Amino acid sequence: MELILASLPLLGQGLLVTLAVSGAVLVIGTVLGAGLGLVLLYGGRGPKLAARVYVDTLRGIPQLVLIFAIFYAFPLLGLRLPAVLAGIVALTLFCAAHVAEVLRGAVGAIPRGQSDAARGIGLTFAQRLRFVILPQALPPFLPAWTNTAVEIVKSSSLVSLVSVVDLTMAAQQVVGRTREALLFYAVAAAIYFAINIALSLAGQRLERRFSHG
Amino acid sequence: MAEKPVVLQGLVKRYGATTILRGVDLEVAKGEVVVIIGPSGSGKTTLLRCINFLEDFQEGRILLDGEPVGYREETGRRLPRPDAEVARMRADVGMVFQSFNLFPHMTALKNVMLGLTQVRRLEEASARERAVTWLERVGLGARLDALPAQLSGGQQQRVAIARAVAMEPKVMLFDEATSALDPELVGEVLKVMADLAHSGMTMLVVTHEMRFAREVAHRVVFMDQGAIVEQGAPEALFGNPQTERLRQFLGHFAPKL
Repeated sequence: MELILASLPLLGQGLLVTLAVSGAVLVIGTVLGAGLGLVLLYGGRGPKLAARVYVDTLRGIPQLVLIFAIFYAFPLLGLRLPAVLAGIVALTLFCAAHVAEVLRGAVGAIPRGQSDAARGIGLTFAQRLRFVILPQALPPFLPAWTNTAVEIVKSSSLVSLVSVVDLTMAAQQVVGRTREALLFYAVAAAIYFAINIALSLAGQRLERRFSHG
Repeated sequence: MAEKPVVLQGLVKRYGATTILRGVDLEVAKGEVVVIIGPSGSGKTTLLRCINFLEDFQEGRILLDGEPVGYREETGRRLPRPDAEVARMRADVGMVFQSFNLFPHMTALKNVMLGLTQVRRLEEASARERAVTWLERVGLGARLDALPAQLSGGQQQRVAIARAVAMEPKVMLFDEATSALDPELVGEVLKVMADLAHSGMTMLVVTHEMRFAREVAHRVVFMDQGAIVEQGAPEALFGNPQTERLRQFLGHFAPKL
């Protein structure tokens, strides 16, 4: 018990870093991904192709490789990012690609007649999105987005490999000091689990709120 | 011009190598009800969809109250209209679809109100009033707050008609509005359409309901393979078809007529 109490400050700081990295990645990645998804759906030929190449490339690269690439390769190009920032950038690029694909899928599942009817009453593109398309895309979007969010929280532990002291790294340091590997990795696992359960529950509540008959 | 809300001149529509419409000319007078019949694949639906620019077309022009649809014409060149202009012109064309296409996340009332508040820019209260009036006229005054999923096909299609006609369009387009309905629900929708026709609405109706064509149309147009083959008053067209193709087509309906 004393061991746990003594290690709390370090674990707490690690948790804050994990939350900050995950939160930043999810917020920025979702905004960028939504924009990218709209380009996939409605962009002209050139932008659409570029977005498609980006999404497929990013989804095909392991996140760890992305993090290493940005952390170790960018300095060669004269761009040195602090480790945390490199991690956030890498995971955000990855998150955006996933969100784009999720949005494309959610909107793509809406029958074409909905867009026809929205056009038919004279709604502009922005009005069609706002009043007709996006409200219908939201219920299928949310569960897939929640999955992505859970993945991102778990992936955020990869930033420990470029020596960011996140929850995983903090647990590792505590284990190094106390030799209580089982205990502290279990604590870390429990915290990750708690974050993701909270995310899933929040997602489910939103889904219920926005679903319709 | 004012008495011709819809004018089609040499309308050509192609999908890649396939030609769907091969130079269609058609003028619809104010208050006229034109019923378009023809075998499937004859281009009837595409013709309607071109009129509110749900489909692009390659040659010819469509005039809505004299204004070219989809393109501006400047010094002989065809310039695509920006989205806002296309939308403004669509607001004056009401369309009813085979598959209803009500917005499933909105009540019947909200379905009708959306265009009134967002496109016609009516105040909430007057939009509601107009929507209720039209929903009552199509017999759904008691189902204002129902979601589309809670309505029968016939009821949904009547809401869709109210949604289109509440915009006070210059012309109403009906694309096989009863084809997706169970037989016992067809009548209620046809009745609303007939009422609308008798109220003086300009209408272009694609349908397989020959009795409706015979009783309500001022003019019947027979299309085949992307062209108008024959047209005329319903008695003349049904009673004395001039072409073999129309005779054959009507032959499929003979038992019902």
